[in-house]
Amino acid sequence: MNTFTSTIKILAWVLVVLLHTANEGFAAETADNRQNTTAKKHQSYVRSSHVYQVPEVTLTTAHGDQVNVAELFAAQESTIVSFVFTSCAGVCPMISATMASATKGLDPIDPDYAIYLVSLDPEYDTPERLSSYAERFETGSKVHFLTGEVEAIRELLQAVDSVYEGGNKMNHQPITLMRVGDSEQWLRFDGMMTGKAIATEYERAKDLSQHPSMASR
Amino acid sequence: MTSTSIRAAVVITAVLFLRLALTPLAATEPPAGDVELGKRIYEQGIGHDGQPVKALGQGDIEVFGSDFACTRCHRRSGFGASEGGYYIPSIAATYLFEPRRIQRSDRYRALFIDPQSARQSAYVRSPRIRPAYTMETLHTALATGLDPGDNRFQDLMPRYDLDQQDMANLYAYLQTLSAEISPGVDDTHIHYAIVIGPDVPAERSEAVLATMDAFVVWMNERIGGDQRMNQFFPYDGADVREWLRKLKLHEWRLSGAPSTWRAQLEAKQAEQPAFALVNGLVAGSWEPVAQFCNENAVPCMLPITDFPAVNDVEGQYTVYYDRGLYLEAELMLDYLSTPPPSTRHNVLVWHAQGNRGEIPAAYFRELLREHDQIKLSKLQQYPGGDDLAAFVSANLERIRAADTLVIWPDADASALLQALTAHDLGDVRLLLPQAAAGSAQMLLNSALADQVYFTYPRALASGYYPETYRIQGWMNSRGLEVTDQRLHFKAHYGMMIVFDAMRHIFNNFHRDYFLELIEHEVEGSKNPGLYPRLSLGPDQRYLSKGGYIVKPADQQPDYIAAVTDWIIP
Repeated sequence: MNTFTSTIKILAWVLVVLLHTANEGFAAETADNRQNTTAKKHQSYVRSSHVYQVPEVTLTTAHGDQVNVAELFAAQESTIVSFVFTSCAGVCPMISATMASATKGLDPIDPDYAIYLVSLDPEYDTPERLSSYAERFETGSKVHFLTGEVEAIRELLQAVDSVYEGGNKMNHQPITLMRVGDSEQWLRFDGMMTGKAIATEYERAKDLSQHPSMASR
Repeated sequence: MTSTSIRAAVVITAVLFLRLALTPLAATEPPAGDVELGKRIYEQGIGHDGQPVKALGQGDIEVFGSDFACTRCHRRSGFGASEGGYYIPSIAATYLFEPRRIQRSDRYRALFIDPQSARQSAYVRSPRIRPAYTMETLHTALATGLDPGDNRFQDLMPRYDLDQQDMANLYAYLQTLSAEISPGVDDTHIHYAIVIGPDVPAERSEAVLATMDAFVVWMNERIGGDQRMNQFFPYDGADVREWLRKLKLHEWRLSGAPSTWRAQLEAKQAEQPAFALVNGLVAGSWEPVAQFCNENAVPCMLPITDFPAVNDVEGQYTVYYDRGLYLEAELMLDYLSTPPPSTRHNVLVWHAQGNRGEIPAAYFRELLREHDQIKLSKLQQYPGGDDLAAFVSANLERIRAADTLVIWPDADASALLQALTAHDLGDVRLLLPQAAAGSAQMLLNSALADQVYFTYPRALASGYYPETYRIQGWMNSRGLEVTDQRLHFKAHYGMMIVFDAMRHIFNNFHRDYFLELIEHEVEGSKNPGLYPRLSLGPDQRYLSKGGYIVKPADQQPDYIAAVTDWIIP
C-alpha cells in the first residue's frame, strides 16, 4: 500500500510538473510568436529618386537667422530634410524624435551632414517656439529647424512635390528627403522611417555616390 | 486511512496543484486605480512615481514625456484624429471597453475626407475585429502593440513600459474618458448660445443675431430634409444621418458689471445648458466669459472681441479670431523696430478715455519697457469733444520732438486726425490701429498723408476671396440687410465652422471632441476674406496671427495700401 501511495504521489507530481512546463512552454511560444510578428516588420516607407531644384527662398532658423534655402541645403556633403509642425498631434513628434535618434547612426558613417526640419505651420512656429521644441526633443547640433513666410515654404513644398491636399497642413504626409554628395538626385522616402532605417539608407546612398557602378547591380 | 481516501486525497491534491499551475500569473489582484493619476499619465506622460513614463517609438527610439503622452495623438477627448495621413483611433471609454464595431461614422473623416496613402487607406478599411479590452489585454497591447484580436498597432503608436500601478491608474482614467455625452444635446436639438454683454450697440448685436438666425433656419431646413430622407429611404447613408440634430440658438444677455457675469452665465447654463457658445459680443474684455468657459469646459467659438484673453490660452476653451488690440500693439512695435533703430527712438503715446484707449495704451507701454532703443517719451490721455483742438495745439512741441506718435483712439479717431491735420507736425510718424483706417480717405489730401500709418490685422480689400461672393449672395437671397459686412461675415463664419464640426461628430456629442474637430478643419475651411489665412492646430486658439502696416493711398480699395508684408510679431 505504501509503495502504491508513493507511486501515485510521484506520478501526480510528475503530472503537475509536466503540465506546468507545458503551460509555460505554450505561453512562451505564444509570446515568441507575438514577438516574431512584431519583429517581422514590413518596410514602412517607399523609396524613390528625384531631381529637385531647391528654390532660392529665404527662411528663418530657430536662432532667428535668415538663410537662403538653396545655399543652406548645399552647404554640406549630405542633407536630410523633412517637414513637421510643433503643435502636430500625430506623426511630427515621432519624426522629430526619429531625426534626433538618427544622428547616432549617421555620425559614424560620415558626419558631414545636416538635418533640416521645415515647419508646415510657420505663422505659429516662431523661432522661439522652434527653439523650445528642439530643446524638448534634444535634437542636438545636427538637426536644424526652419520657419519663414508661408509663401516661401509653399514654394519649397512645390519644388519637392510635397504640397498637401486641401491647403490644410493636417493632410501633410510624412516624407524624408536625402541628398548625398554633389549629386542632384534626391532620395525620397514616403512614410515613417526609423532612425536605423535613415542610417541604413544614408550608408547605402554614400556607397552608391562613391561607387556609382554599384547602382546598376 | 483507506486506499479510497488516499486516492481521493491524491486526486484532490493533484487537481489543486494543476489549478495552481495553470492559473495565469495575472490572476494576482491588480492594484486599485487612481483616476487623477491616470489622467496625469494620459495628459502628461507622468507615472505614479512622478517620473516620465518610457516608451519605445518606431521600434528603436526611446521616447517619454508629454510629447508622447496619450493625449498628444488620441487627444483630450480620446476620439483620436486623422493627421499626417495616419488614422489615430478612438480610445474613448465607449470604444475601448466595447468589442470593435464596424460603423462608418466612427471613422468617417479617415474613410471619406482625409487624403491618405494606399497603405493607410487599406488600414482604415480593414475590420481589425477585437473584443472589449480588459486591464490585462490593454496592458499587453500597450507593451507589445498587439490588441486582444491579435491585430498589430501601427508603428506610430509607441510601446509603453507601464508598471502594474500605472496601468491600473491609466485603466481607471480611460474608463471615464468621454464616457458620457456633454450637456446641451437632447433627442432633437443641439443647443448653442450667443453671449451679448451690456453696452453693446444694438445695431451690432442685431446684425450678428439676424445672420445667425438666418443660418439656423437655413441649416435646420437642410437637417430636416436629411431626417425625412432617413425615414423615406433608410438604406442610403442612414448610419451617418441617424444622429442629426437641429440647431437651437439661445441669447444669453448679460447685465451689470463684468464681475457678475460668471454667476449670470452659470445660472443660464443651469437653466438650459448650451453645448457651445458661438460668436458673442461684449464691449470690453472677453476674459470673464473665457473664465466661465474654461471652468465649465464649454467651447466658446469665435467671440467678436478686441480684448481676448492673451495669457495661457493654449488648450483652453475659447477660440478667437486674433489677439485683437494686443496684436495691434505688437505689430506697431515690430514695425518700429524693423530695422532696429541705431539711436534712441522716442514714442509719444496718446489714448482716448475708456477701454479702447486705455487698455492697448497700457499694454503698449509694457512692450516698450522691454525695448532697448524705442522708448516712451510720454503717455497722455487726450480729451474728447471741444477740448480736443486745444489739447493738440498745446502739445505741438511735444509731438514735433517725438519720432512717432502712437494714438489709441475710440470712436473719435477721425476728429482727432482732423485736428492734427491743421498743424505742421514736423517729421513725426503717426501710428494708429486699424479701427482708425476709415479716416484714410480724409487724410489723402492733407499734409499728413505720408506720415500716417495704420496696423491692419485683416485681409486687404485688394485680395481675392471667392467665398465672399457666395456668402454675400447667401445673405442677399435671405433678405438680410448687411449694415457691416465684416460683422455679418464673422457671424456667418462662426456658425459655418460650428456646423462643419457637427457634421462629423455624429453621436459623439462631446465638447472636447467638438473643439478638436474645429482645430482640425479650420485651415481647410472656405475663407470669406476676413483674414489672409485662417489656421489652427491642436491647442492653438487664434485663427489669424499677424497683420500688415498700411498707409493712405489713392486709387486703392478702402484708400489704403500695405507698406509691409504680413508681419507675425
